[in-house]
Amino acid sequence: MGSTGAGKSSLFNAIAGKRVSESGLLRPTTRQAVALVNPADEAALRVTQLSIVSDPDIPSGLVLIDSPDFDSVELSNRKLALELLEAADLVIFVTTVTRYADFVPWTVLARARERGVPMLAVINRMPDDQGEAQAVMADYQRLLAGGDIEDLGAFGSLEVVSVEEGALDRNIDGLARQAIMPILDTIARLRDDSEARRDVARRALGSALASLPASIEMIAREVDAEEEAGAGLVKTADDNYRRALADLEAEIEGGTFLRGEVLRHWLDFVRAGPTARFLSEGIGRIAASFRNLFRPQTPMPAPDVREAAFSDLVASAVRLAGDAARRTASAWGDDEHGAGALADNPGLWGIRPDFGSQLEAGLEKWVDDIASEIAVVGQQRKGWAQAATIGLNVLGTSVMLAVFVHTGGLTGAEVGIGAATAVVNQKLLEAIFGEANVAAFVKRAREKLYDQLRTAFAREKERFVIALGPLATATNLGAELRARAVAAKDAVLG
Amino acid sequence: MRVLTALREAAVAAADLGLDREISQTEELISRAEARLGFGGSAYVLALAGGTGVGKSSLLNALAGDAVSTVGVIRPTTARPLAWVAENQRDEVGPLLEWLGVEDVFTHQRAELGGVVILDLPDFDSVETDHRATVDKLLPRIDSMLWVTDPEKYDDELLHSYLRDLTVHADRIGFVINKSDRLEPAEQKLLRDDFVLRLKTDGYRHPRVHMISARTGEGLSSLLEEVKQRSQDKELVTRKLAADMSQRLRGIAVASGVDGSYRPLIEQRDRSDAVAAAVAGALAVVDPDGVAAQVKAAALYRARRQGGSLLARVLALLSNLTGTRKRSADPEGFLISWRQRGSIGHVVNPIRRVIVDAVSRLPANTRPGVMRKVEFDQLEEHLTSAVEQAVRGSRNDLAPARSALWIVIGGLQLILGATFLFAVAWYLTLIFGPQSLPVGSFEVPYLGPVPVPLVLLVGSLVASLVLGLILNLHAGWLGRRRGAKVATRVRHAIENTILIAAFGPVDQIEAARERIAAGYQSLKGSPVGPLRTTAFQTVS
Repeated sequence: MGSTGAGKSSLFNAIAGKRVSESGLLRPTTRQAVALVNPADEAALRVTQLSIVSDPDIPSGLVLIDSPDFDSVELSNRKLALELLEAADLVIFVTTVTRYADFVPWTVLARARERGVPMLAVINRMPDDQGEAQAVMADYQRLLAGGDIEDLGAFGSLEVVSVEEGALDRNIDGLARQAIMPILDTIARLRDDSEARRDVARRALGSALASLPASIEMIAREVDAEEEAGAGLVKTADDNYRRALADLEAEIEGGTFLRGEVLRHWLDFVRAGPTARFLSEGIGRIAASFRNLFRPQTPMPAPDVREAAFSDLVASAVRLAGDAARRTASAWGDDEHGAGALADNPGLWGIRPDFGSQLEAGLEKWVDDIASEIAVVGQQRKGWAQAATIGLNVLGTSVMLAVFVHTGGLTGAEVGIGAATAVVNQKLLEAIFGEANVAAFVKRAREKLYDQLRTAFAREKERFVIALGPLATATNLGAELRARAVAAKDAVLG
Repeated sequence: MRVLTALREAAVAAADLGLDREISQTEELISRAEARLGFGGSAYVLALAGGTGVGKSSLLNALAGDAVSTVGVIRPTTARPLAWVAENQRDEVGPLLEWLGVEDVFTHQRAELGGVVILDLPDFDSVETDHRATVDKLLPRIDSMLWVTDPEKYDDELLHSYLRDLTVHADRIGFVINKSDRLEPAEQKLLRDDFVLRLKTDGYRHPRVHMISARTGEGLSSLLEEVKQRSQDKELVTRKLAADMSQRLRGIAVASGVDGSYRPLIEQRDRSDAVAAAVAGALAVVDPDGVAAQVKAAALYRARRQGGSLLARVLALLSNLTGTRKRSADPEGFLISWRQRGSIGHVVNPIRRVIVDAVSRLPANTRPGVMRKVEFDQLEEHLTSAVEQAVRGSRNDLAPARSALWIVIGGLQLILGATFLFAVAWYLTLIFGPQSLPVGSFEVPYLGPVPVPLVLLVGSLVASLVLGLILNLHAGWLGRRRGAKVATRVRHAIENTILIAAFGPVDQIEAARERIAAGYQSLKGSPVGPLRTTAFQTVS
């Protein structure tokens, strides 16, 4: 491994003793990692990113890989190089007299240290002036010691092989073999001594596993922090939508959605026509029939009543959901992760475009469901045939009004009309369900309404959670990572 | 400088958009530019920048023909920036060097390099991270640069990440590949072509690359020639600052979403649709027709109290006592209780929607600031008080109608009432009276064939009904007219106040964006104003 232009391929060719990898002037030279392998081992090598070269001269049990650089403009090189660092059993780290104090290679060395992979080091293009060469070598050794690298050697302490500028073998397009004798010796030793070879591999794997919990700890901490941030953001959204829903329920209970004119219209209708006849008894019923002869028939206002109530309810819901979105978005803007989620989803500043229409459809369905439930309950009671003449539509609307009126006190001039509506509704519903059942029925209807609203608001809030992506679902991943790292280590190392 | 004026104006406009970060960056740049221009003198600052070990110091020494900067094998060598200036300019450039934070100054006596201060910078790529911090701090203050690299490092990502951010200064940046002595001539060409290709990818259209060897002196003379030639350029510093500023202006334009062709944040059609919807929503809640009906009813009530028959007056009194009047003939009470008649959401929702849509089209990091500036949080409050204001403003028109006719009719009705009662009393006397009266008989006068009491009775009744009809028609007509007038007033007031409340802040932002767009467009192509292009743009 090494920087771009440090001479990895030249070293590789020198080790191979032949021209295998193309060393060259232009950076980055090695675009695909070359793996030199004994034909017998070829089948065992299952890495697709490598260009595999079979060579009978390579001893079985040894795979020599020329890694791409990790510091050139080619990002794919960097990615593969870092993966190879994780996979290798032995790393020969190549640098030059120009490069040895570069920042980027030292970040790679820091990872090698953390991973504890056995290493050999080469410093290339050393000046022929012995004094200068020694000064550089001493400085490099100092940095290696400071980086806590010097004990990572393949056998004992890390050996740094100094290669002089110009020590090249043009025939193999590589470094002169005599310049890298210590490297060749080490490889020969590994080739001849399968126990030593296994030992190095064992060490590489062992220290990788041993360092796993510590490496994972850093990731786990980040994951923890992200989960915490995510949980905080979700809580903000939760709070804002809960507050919006509570405000909406308060408005419903305050009777805001019952306009006096609409109720008056409704009362005019209910006090006349078949409803009045149904509600009256004895002489009153005759009087009602008589009145009906003279009064012009009031057109049934059920759709109007519903539309008026729903239009206000929906407008208020849209307004409050918009408040919740706006508040949440504002708060998220101050958080790094929140701002990121908002950046990709600018719609979060407002409501989902179809929120209003969906809610309206839901409310229509709510009233329809009430009507069919009335039919089911009513048919079990005597006198249903007569009640049915009023029409399910009217009865459903009446229950709807009961939900709104029962819960709320109306203000000012509307009190009288509201109370009157409540009384008439109560009479109407009692006549159908019996006195004892009305309250329960209305309560159930109200709960269903609140369910609708809760669902609608939950769907709105869900957009924020989705925008956060995996951040939103705090699954205690950090703890799981830690546990698994320890488990993996224990499973192999015992 | 034209660009300075444009940038200042843009920064002011950016404040209206809430672009705090853009503003602070702009202020920093402007004060840096003013400081730089304040130093006067004609010398420009040329920095040798590059990674550790590529030979910046060797290059300086080679240019100087003397060991000015420490050259060493231990990496990194140069820790502090070093300046190399002409002896006779030492004093003149003193304050400039102090501003740059350069303490190590070496002088020379070469007249041909009189116009340039050459800096040897520390590296940016070694393990000594404070070197990089020094470079990062210095680079923005430097007029011109030579980026030095070598065959080993010319493709380093870190080098190119710096270069990619400096493309606006391409005119004032030269590139040097050192250590050419290591390469064959054919290799030199290959390498240089490869580097040029990479620089083009970075955004340099015509990069000027010098292949040199500080060790052998190869290529140095042409490099020196370029340095000298550049020192002839009297506008270099100005142009450098102008490039910084136009880049900054572009940053503001991008943040405001006006870097392409200018389009308003909210198109006129969307805006009028939203206002129409909000006004419709407000009218549905305020209900001007309901107000008109109340005005009419109030007129009728007043007419009956003033000019009604006795019976009508009693009924009116009753309607007052039972609260019917309060409910249906109290226009003021009806008007000011508008909030109870429906959700303010009808007004707020359409406006909010169009604003969210508009802001979504701005760059992400601009949105929170703009949302703050359009007072999105206060929108509901603004709209509510806008409607409230419209409603309150219309209250003056609600004074009940009055008419002298009613009082006249009222007088007549009283007389007719008295006549009617008199006639009734007469008949009662005739029916029950004679026995108790001291007179035995009583002659009933006749008017033609009809007895007078009957004339009085029927006549007063008919006349009263006719008068009542006239009163109703008149008061109804008057009330209806007044009601219609009030309704129209309310409607107009709501339309006006909502338009202002909804888009007042948006208009301010729109104006700011327009100013930024105009400034940016006017400078495109010629950031400095009337200046010729530099001689350094020529390609080798």
